[in-house]
Amino acid sequence: MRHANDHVSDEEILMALDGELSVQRTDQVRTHVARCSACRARMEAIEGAGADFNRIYRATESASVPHASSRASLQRKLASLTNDAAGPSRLERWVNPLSAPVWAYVCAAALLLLVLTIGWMHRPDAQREATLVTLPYSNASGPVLPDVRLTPGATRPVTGSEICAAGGPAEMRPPRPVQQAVFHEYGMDTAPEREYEVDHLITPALGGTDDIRNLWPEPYASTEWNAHVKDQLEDHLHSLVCGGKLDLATAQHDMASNWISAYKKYFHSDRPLPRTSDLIEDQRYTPKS
Amino acid sequence: MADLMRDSAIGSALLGAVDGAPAADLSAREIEEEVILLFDEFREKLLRYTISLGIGVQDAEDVTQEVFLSLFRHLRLGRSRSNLRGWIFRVAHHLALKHRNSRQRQQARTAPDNFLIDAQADSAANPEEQLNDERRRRRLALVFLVLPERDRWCLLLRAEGLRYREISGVLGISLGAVSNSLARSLARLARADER
Repeated sequence: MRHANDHVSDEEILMALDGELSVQRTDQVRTHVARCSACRARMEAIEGAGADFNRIYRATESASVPHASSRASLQRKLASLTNDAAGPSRLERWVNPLSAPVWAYVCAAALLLLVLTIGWMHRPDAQREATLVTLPYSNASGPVLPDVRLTPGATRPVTGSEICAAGGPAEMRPPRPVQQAVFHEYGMDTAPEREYEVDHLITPALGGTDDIRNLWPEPYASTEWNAHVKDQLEDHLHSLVCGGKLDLATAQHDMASNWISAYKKYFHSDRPLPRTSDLIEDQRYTPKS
Repeated sequence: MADLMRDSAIGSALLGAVDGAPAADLSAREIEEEVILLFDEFREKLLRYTISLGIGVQDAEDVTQEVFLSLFRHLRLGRSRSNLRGWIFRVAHHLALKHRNSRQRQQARTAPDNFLIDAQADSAANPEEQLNDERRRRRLALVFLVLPERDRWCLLLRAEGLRYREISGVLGISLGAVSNSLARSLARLARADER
């Protein structure tokens, strides 16, 4: 799907056409297409095929759709539902468990979970397993690992030598509107922004993009697996790629799959190391698998 | 594609419904009226989409009715109004597949055999243009029908004006899988179009 020589991929062309890329990336794609005849031809072909498909689909299936509307039938059924005691009142929803509001079930489930958790933590071997219980793959203050449905990771077509020629990971923050969109996607509109880094899942220094699919709000300090620790991993992977000890695709894949697991794999440590970069030496690298 | 929805008054209401008044403050009568408005807006789209999933016209009508009865119950219980368009298509998709699976023993198919082929020719076009259009339609139909089912669904939902995030919600797949599927399918359709 990706094209060599810095060409934009079919996927990015389509997303630009459909308004699914960030404004910045859309501008970059359009600028590239404007001066690249091969990409322009691909864009025209994709746009034309999409338009043809939509037109033919609507014409075909609209011919199958019956004109006699079933609106009256629906109205009768809805009126019947409405007249059934005019629906449940707020009081009835409390009294009748079958029609209780969703949040009432959620509260009950949360209470049950709390009781079970307390019981679990007071088991004799709770101390030994405490690290498992508190492993912060997500916590109340935010997602340490991104939601794969919202942030699967996104990369630009780039080679390892281009990555290394560009220098180390001096990462630019995404524009503020994009950051706000990321908080919104994660349902964290009211979260204090200064406590989070809207971080790239795959760092731009390893080919990641500013696409919203590559961004998530990562807490700075509320857990040991925080944004600073991830920065250590990014620096380390960059040096491994540029040192010829790791290929770029593997580095991108490992970051996108589970960066905490990647950290453990490449640092040989189940805990974040102290932030002294001189601990990070190339000879430490011998992946477990 | 998304213009289809943005230009619609109901679409605006849907897209802005996240911060709308809580359903608990609306009477059953008001919700009924709202559901009827949404039915008017989406009936044709849902019939077209569910028929294209491989169910008959009458089943598609039944599915569409059930979607809006479910929507009424959903809103009456004060449940989320976030992205009702995605909710409507998701429920329709699952109900249609349920219908299709229950009938597959008698009539196994995953898309109508005449899908995309029976489009009405543009009456304003001259005979040569109509013939070319017919050929192109058949080429696209042949490519479409051999696509994996999930790729077909992505194309259909895009054609109905859904954003990638909504398609991802309807089909329960990642956003990356949606864009990847669409790019792959449209590239194949484009190659067919060139022939």
